[in-house]
Amino acid sequence: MRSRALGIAALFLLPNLLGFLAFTLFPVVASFALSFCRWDPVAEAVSAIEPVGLRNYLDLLGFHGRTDPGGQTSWVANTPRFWESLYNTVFMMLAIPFNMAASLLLAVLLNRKMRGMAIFRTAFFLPSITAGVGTMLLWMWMFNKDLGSINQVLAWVGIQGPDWLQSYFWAKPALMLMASWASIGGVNMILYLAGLQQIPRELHEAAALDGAGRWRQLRHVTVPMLMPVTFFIFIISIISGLEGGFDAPFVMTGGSFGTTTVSLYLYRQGFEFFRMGYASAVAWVLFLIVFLLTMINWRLAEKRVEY
Amino acid sequence: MRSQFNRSRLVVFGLLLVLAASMLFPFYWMAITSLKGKADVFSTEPKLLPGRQLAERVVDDPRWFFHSETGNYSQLLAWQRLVESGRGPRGFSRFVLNTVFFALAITLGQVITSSLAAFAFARLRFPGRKQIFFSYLATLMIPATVTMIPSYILLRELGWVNTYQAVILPSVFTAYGTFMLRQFFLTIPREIEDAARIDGCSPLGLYWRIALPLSTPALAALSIVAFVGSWRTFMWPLIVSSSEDLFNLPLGLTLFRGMYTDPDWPLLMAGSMVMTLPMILVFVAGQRYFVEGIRLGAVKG
Amino acid sequence: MPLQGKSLLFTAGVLAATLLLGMWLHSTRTLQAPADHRVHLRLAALYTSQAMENYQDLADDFNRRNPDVLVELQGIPGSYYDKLLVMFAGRTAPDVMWMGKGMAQFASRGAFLDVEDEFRIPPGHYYESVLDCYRFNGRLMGFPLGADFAVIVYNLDLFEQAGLPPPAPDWTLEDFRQAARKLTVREGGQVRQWGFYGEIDPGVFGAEYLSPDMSEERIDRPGWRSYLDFHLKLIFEDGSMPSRLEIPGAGILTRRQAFYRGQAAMISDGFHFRTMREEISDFRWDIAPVPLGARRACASSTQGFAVSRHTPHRAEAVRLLKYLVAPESQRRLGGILVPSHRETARQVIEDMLSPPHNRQVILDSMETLNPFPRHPKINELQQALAETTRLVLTRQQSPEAGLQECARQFREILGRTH
Repeated sequence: MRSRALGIAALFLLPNLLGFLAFTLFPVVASFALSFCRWDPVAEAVSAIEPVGLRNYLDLLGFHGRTDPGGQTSWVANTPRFWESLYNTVFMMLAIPFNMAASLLLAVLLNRKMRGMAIFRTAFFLPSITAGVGTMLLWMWMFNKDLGSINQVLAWVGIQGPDWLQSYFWAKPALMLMASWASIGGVNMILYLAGLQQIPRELHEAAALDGAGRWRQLRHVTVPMLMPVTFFIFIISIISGLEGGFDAPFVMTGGSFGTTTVSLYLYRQGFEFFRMGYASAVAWVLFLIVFLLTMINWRLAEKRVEY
Repeated sequence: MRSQFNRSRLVVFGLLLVLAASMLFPFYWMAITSLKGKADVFSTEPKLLPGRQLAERVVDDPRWFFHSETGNYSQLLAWQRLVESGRGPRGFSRFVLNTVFFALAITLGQVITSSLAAFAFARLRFPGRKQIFFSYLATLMIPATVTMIPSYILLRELGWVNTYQAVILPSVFTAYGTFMLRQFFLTIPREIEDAARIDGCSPLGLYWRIALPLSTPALAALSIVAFVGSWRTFMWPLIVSSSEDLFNLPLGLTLFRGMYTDPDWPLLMAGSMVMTLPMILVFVAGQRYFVEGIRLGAVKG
Repeated sequence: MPLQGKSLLFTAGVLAATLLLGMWLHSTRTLQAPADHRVHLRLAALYTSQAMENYQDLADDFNRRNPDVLVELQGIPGSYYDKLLVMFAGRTAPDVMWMGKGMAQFASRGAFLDVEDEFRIPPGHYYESVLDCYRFNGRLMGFPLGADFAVIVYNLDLFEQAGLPPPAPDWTLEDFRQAARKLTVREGGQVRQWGFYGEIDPGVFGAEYLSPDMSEERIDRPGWRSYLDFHLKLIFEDGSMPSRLEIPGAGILTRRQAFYRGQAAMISDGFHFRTMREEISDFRWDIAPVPLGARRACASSTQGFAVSRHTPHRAEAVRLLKYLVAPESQRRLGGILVPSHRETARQVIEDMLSPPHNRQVILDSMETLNPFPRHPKINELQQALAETTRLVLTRQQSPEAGLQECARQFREILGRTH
């Protein structure tokens, strides 16, 4: 019986699993091995790959004592820039719950049969597909202190706008605003729309018969029924939040003013400074963080949803 | 009661209108810039209306849009590689066809293979299910920056560098699609499945008659996500292709960029428009599958 | 059921169409390497619309002259060094490749073939300052085509309107600052015309990156301090320069656009100001040397070619390299660089259309290039410095604190053994 179940499962799994093993899992495992090595891909000797044990991880996560002229010893991170980029990334991830709520709300609003709804859905979806270097440059223009349209609008109501992209305080919110613009109507909204379709209409009808208004239906029928989708979106948002956010700072601020994300840090270490082993270690530290977060979520979700 | 209902509808409509307008602005700006001449872009700050220059050009020469020296779009379409060799489509048309091929192949491959795997993860019981699923999930958490070189070396070992399959295959077997469809399959009420099972439905039948039809919205969503993603992909095709006949649109469009002159904004924006329009079409075509009212009869199951 | 039949049919149809399209596209690919007796060389270059045409001409010409070799030109559009890095890692690097700002990083790691003994360079025929950019431990690791550098480009009409004489060849930083101030025009509290938009090279202030043996940082020194102070004065004290710092690769209102529109009277720009001629029609302009400070210097970059050390065809690859950087080729590529060969450079400058009239500035500048040090970790050092400059010039960090922090980072980067 067991082997039969396995056989049937294999039938379903293998087409994907084989490709997955070769093209996804193999490079991932290779990067894990590399994270314990020094690897400069351009360096002369063939032995440019050199095992270094845990040194990459110690460099990345370790602390050392530093004695200041007053004789006081304090603990300092070996690589403050990594911690700084982690802080920047986590800060910018604070927009995730807001973005998800906005996507859900938008999906509920757009999920109705009404003349012109198709145009609205397309309009909200557009930013996510046009987002790219072109739109980033446009946003740079809009964020410009003197010429930008945002500050011009603010000036009408008597507020002198900041120099958005060149200020420690405002650069992160500016990038977050742009990211929200690009993502709210994008993939997440589509997934929510699809999720709304999966909810049997009878449930809403039953709730309406019980006298539940729109808001209560949303809270007691829609949101719980969308849990698996929300769970997916949340996990993917955390993953892409921690690992994404590379292009915008790269193009718009060059990573200055507190906008270097972990992914930009990682890219620079690997592809600009040729420290592939170290970059792999950064990736695996990142992995550990995401994995722990996912596991916690999984446990929480498992309690609520019957899988 | 009725008037109140209408008012709430009106409020929603107004709110959507304002939001949509702000969402559309950059796209609108892109569209009007793509119609401008190179010299017009910076003559003033961004203007909301195409303005006089455009009007003057149309009056001057009503057919300017189609002239390859003046119209940005016709300049793109007329673009050819400097040295022509070989049969078949070259230049811009080849980039377009390549992009279509990549996008279709990756989308089909993803939807087919990951829906099968997702069904196994969501609905079948077999030893190691959780472990395999978690290893799928885990690979999503490793940034592509560090897996790119190992992947490249693997493809070199297979002798696939600079081939179509090198661009397509690594993007087909993603954990993303599998994870996503699994979540959607989980929302299908068990009762429907149990009823079918009692009727003697095999696992393949459950997949084909229950899971897939009930998840049409999810499949449409995944198709759109996969299509848009592969339509825009830049880095991976750049890494694995070494000749222009393998380039897709994002790669091809960068060929128009000069190093020393300021970018030709109108031409770049025309390129972005060409990039964007097919994705809009796919979205418009696909969205009817997740809109209220087209739900399939099979749901009643 | 009928609906499922239909969707099955639809999916199968799309699948079949996709397969057919793929097969057709595959069958119409240009054959990469026709099987013949010739030695195949792969030549890689950053794809830019201007340069590619020239490179293709050179490759074709070389193929004609060398019947035993077939050169295939591979244009890489964007992310050039990323792709090269992956190719080196996969041991599939091209035989000969174009090099720009990545030269120091690749060459100092031994990526290229030592060609010192291949070139017999008669003394005085080449700009030593340019050749030096391709020398590592005294050996040539490739060959430079030429250099590009920043000089001052100015709007002569605006100078006359401000009642200023054109810049003198020996103008100093103080002269420059005065001129920038007088060239700034305000209107209702807003600046309508900036005196200057750009950067004066740190070398002018005597600033250095590293000690001559490249083992120690030279950041926390007076040179860097006066470099930062000078630009702070222009931006905040005189208000003659916009505070918006340019971020590479992204220019909505670039220096050039500001210059074309008469919004900046002076900018710092490179030899490619030749392309400006097409854009400017309504005012007179010319170029002037970078003002004189502690010493003469101008920011510079070089371009050239190098041979991969992995190439199986050394002799042919070196032959191609020699051809690509020969004076004749340099002349053909002279539109974007000042050739490293002195005589060719003189001819290219002579043949140039006017403006600029003040062409001697170009040749003089070739003697005062101030390239970045040829250090394997140059990218990391540059980035630390750029970060500091941005923070200090937006007054979010004091020059002292910024330079101290930057020097600390330099020491850390230099001290790290991996």
